[in-house]
Amino acid sequence: MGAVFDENFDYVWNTLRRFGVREADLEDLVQDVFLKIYVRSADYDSTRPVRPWLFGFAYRVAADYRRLARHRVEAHSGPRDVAAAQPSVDERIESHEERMLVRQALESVELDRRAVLILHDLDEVPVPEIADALGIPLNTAYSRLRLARADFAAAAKRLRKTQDAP
Amino acid sequence: MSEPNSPVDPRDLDLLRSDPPADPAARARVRSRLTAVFPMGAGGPSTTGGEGPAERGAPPHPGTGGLFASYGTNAIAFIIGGAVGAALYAGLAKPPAPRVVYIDRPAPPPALSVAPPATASNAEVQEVPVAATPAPRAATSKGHASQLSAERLILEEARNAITQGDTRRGLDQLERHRRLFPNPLLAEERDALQVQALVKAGRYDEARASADSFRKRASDSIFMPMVDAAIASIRP
Repeated sequence: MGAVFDENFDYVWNTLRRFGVREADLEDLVQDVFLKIYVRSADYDSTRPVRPWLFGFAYRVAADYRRLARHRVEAHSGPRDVAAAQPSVDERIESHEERMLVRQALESVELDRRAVLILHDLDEVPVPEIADALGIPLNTAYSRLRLARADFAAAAKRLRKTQDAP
Repeated sequence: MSEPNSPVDPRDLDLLRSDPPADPAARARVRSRLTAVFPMGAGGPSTTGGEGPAERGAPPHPGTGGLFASYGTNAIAFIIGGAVGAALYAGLAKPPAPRVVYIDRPAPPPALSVAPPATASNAEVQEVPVAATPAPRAATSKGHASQLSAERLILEEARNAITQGDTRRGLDQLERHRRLFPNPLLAEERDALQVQALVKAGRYDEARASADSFRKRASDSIFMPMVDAAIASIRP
């Protein structure tokens, strides 16, 4: 377990963060993910890459987390939330600002779609493996990827326009 | 894995990939808490197990899965540590503490007080004034809560498997619970589930023997009716 934990802690951490988990809650949720991984370790098919399998746990833990009402206020679901979350003046270093912007754009993408986008475009997992890891039909995975990209691109464009406005 | 026809700007994906690493202190804290629940081994990547061999297609470790191939050695250390701790505690212990039974479903009104642990949101805690094996001294710590949640996860897996008729998997999970937690918090629940699984598997003699043993140990258990019902369901 130690090696799996050490090699994938950052991956699980960042995956949960990409799912919109608050920084303050990341630690507890990462722990939950690894507990669940341990309990289900006998189910792991060693002929397959491990990260999509781990991702499935992170996805389900993040989905449960977001279902809790107390976390909903933290979710960014549209332009109004995004406008309220503008970086402060001190944070207006361009690279940091850009990173915040794309993260907000990602958070505006619906969770099911976002999972496919993260796995494919960031983690570079082929779509058939994504479908397997998330337990969804292949066509659904392709559809979600297409929609997620469109949502993300539109959100990023909208956010940049808001940012550039006087 | 961006594609030419994707509307997503590749630079945006690069920005998303450039997430800062996780907080090392958080990593250490989580590792420490998990170590209280199950063997984690030494820090740093293992050369004998873990993700590497799993990714290269090595077969899983029998009984524990390919991800946790280094479990054996760590388990021995874990068990020895637990035994030493229990022995030390037994020498220091004064009168036996009240037995604490954790359950996953509504229980009859508690005889004494109700005090659910903060981190075990779904568990109700009922204190039963019966002299029995005391919990380890460290049982009020975060490790206690972690152990409880880990035990609950495993027993939930077992219960689901048994309910679905997969008694083999259910019994495997119960055995795993027994192996991982030499000082369990949920022993009665596990043993009751075992009787249920054995009955469902058609292993009636073993089920009766387990039920008899359970009755001798914990005839006042809230799980006793569950055990009796399982035995009663055996057709003569």
